[in-house]
Order: sequence, then C-alpha cells, then structure tokens
Amino acid sequence: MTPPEPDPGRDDVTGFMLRSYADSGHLSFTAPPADVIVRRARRRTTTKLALSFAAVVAVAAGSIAAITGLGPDPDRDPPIIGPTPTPSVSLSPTPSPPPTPATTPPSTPPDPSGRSRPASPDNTPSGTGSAPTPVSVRGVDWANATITMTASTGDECLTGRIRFVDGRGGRPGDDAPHIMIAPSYYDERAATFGDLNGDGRDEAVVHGSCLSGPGDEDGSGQVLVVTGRSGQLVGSWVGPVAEVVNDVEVTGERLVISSTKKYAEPEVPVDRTYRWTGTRYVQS
Amino acid sequence: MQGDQPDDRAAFERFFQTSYGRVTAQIHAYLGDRTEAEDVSQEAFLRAWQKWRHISSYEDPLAWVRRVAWNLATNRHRRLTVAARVLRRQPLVAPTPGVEPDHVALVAALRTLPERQRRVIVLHYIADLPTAEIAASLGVPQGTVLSWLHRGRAKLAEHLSETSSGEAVTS
Repeated sequence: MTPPEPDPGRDDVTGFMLRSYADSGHLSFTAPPADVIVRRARRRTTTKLALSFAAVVAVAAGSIAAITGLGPDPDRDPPIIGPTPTPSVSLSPTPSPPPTPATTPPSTPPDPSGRSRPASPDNTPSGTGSAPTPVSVRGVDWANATITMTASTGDECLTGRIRFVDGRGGRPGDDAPHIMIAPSYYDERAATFGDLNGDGRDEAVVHGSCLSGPGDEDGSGQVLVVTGRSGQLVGSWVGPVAEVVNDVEVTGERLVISSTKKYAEPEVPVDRTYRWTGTRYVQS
Repeated sequence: MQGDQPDDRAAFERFFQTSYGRVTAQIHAYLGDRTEAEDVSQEAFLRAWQKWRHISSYEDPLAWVRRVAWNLATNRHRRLTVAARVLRRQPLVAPTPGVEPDHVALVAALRTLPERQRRVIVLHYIADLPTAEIAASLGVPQGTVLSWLHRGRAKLAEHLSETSSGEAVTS
C-alpha cells in the first residue's frame, strides 16, 4: 500500500513558509536574456575549434622539429612527445594525449642524478630499495594513470589510490562517485610542468573533476597538482572550484592560476598564486 | 548539436524564460547561495541548449534540466560545505532587498539541516516531486525518504521557531 504523501500544510509556520516559497520563490529570480546562454554555448564551441586548429599546427611544428633535430631538451624530464616546457611554462596545445609509459620506451636513458626517470607501467616506482624512487610526471598518460588522491579540507571527493581508465577513476556506474581527469581544463591542451616544491623535480598541473553523477562534468572542476616525489603519483586539489581555468603557470616555485567565474559580467580573469608549505598548497 | 533554427531558438527562449526561476529557486533553497544557484541553473540550461534538438523532443524537458542542475548542485554543495560553515559564523546581515524575508529565513533554516534531509524537503515540498520519484532518483527506499522528510521537517520547525523572534538572517 502506498503511504500518503506528506503535506506541508498551512496551519503552522513551517508549512506556510514552505508553501510560500514553492508558490513564489521563483519570482525573485529573473532569467537573463536567453542570448547570454546561447552566446556562452557558441563561445565554448568556438574555443574548442580554435584549440583543435592550434593542435593541428602543433603537430605540424613537432614533425618539422623532429625532422630538423630541434627536439626537446633531454636534460630535464623529457616528455615523450611535444615541445619541452621550461620550469616556467604556460599551457600549450598538444596534438594528442601522450602514449602510456607501459607501451612507450623512454626517449633517453635515466639520468644518473635521478632527476629524470620514466614512470613504470602503472606509474609506480620500479626500484627495490627502502627509499622510494621518485617517478617522473612527464610522459604520463593521464587518462590511464594511477594516482593517490589526497583529501582537501571539507572535500568529500574520492581519496586514496585511484586507477584511471580512459580519464575516469572511481566506482563503476554513471551515478557512482568518481573523478574525471584531463591534462587541462581545455581538452586540447597539454599538462603544465614545473618545480613547485623546490626539490628540482617537476610537478604536473592537470585538471580534475569530482563527480557524483551525470550532468556535472565541469561543475566541480579544479586544478590538480601531481607529484612523483614519493615514488608514486600523488594528486592534490589546488585553487578555485568550478571556474573557467583560462591558464596556469609555474614560476619561481609558485603556481599561478588564472580563472574566470562562470557567467560573470564582465568576465574579469582573476590570478591567484599558490605555494607549497611542505604539507599542502596555500594561497600566497 | 544545439538547435540553430529560428523555431528552435524561440522554443528554447520560451522554455528558459518560463522555467529558469523555478529551477533556480529550488537550487537556491538547497545550496543557500543565490550566486551559486544562478550559476548552476544557467549551466544546466546551457547544456540543454547545446542538446536542444534532443531535449526539446522529450516529454518533460524540464525534468532533464532539473536533474542536471541537481547533479551540479549536489557536487557543488560538497565544495561549499566549508564556506557555508564559515559564513554561518559571520555576523548576520539584512536580507537582500526585494526578496521575501520569509523566504530568506526559510533558506537560512534549510541550511542548518543535514544534506539529505534538506534535499528531500526541497524536492518534495518545493519542487513538488512525489516521494516515490525522489526515492528512485536517490536509490533509497521510499520509507527512507519519508523518514528524512519527517526528521527534517521537525528540525526545520524547531529552527524557524527559534529565529522567529526577529533575528535578521543572511541570504
């Protein structure tokens, strides 16, 4: 037998207020012109198309560089493909996700100093000594990496060791909590690299979203800093949540995130700088 | 693909103008933050426009938008939890001009409820969804929804009676 539906009633304060809000709460929200929504949708499409074109140009440029010997700097955590960023780098287009470490041999021998080392097949250290051997964040196939996610304050996102498959990590099922990961806020851009903790090794700056179900693909996106210093890939959430991340830059062991609030009029990018304290990233 | 024909555009504009307020008000009651609610609601409608050819053929396009908005909101809620705690410790301020004081008080009271109780109260009493439908969407028995409604309603009444002494609250 179906139980009766609870009724808010009108004979008490709570019932009256609930009914009042249901009846007229919407009147305090005025819809902006639909053109605002349409223009925003068009802008997103245009951005993606422009970045796709830039990616094609980058492919062509990379091919020419390979032919002429103008390759990446082999002395600093060489990426498997694409141009080599310096310790202070901005986002740049990349032709496609880098191949997995499991299927791609290192482009250079390991550096005796330990500053550059390809990741093992599942991105965990291959050394057998007691001290963990740092792994390189370069050349990681972010869509299929295994990352230990640390918790942020007040964050109920998945934590612990997460294995990503095709950019998705977490419990199976569309409605199950999971994390989506990508090299950048924009699909066509590469990850950003730079030393953020002063140990001489690069961290990777990528983009992730903590999701509870379908429909909130970028509603919870946030910058994710991944380090390999402890012998495994460890990710930490940094910066504002659910904003359009226009650009990220690593400079002088600082992470600068340039973002824009969605639907802000006018759209004014805000730059925020973060630094590593030894235990977490804080805004400076 | 989004609709790009004049008829599509006109239909979407009508849909957006007539539905935006109600979706946003529901999300506002849940999140307790007007700006975040508008952000979430606009994002949901934007996605509807991007797939308008399909969405407009649905029997109830608003149900799709509401589902996307709630998914966005529940995710956003987790991130807002800390900010909300901090906000609640701040001195109370006068409500936004033009907004019903009762509505401001209700939203503030809703913010004191556990997330599940607040969610089902908004979905049932404000969005007017049947408890069976809420139970199905949350993947819990209908009895659980009824229990959350009962407990949430009791806490809400308790809080509203405490704040009805004339205390100003923030929106």
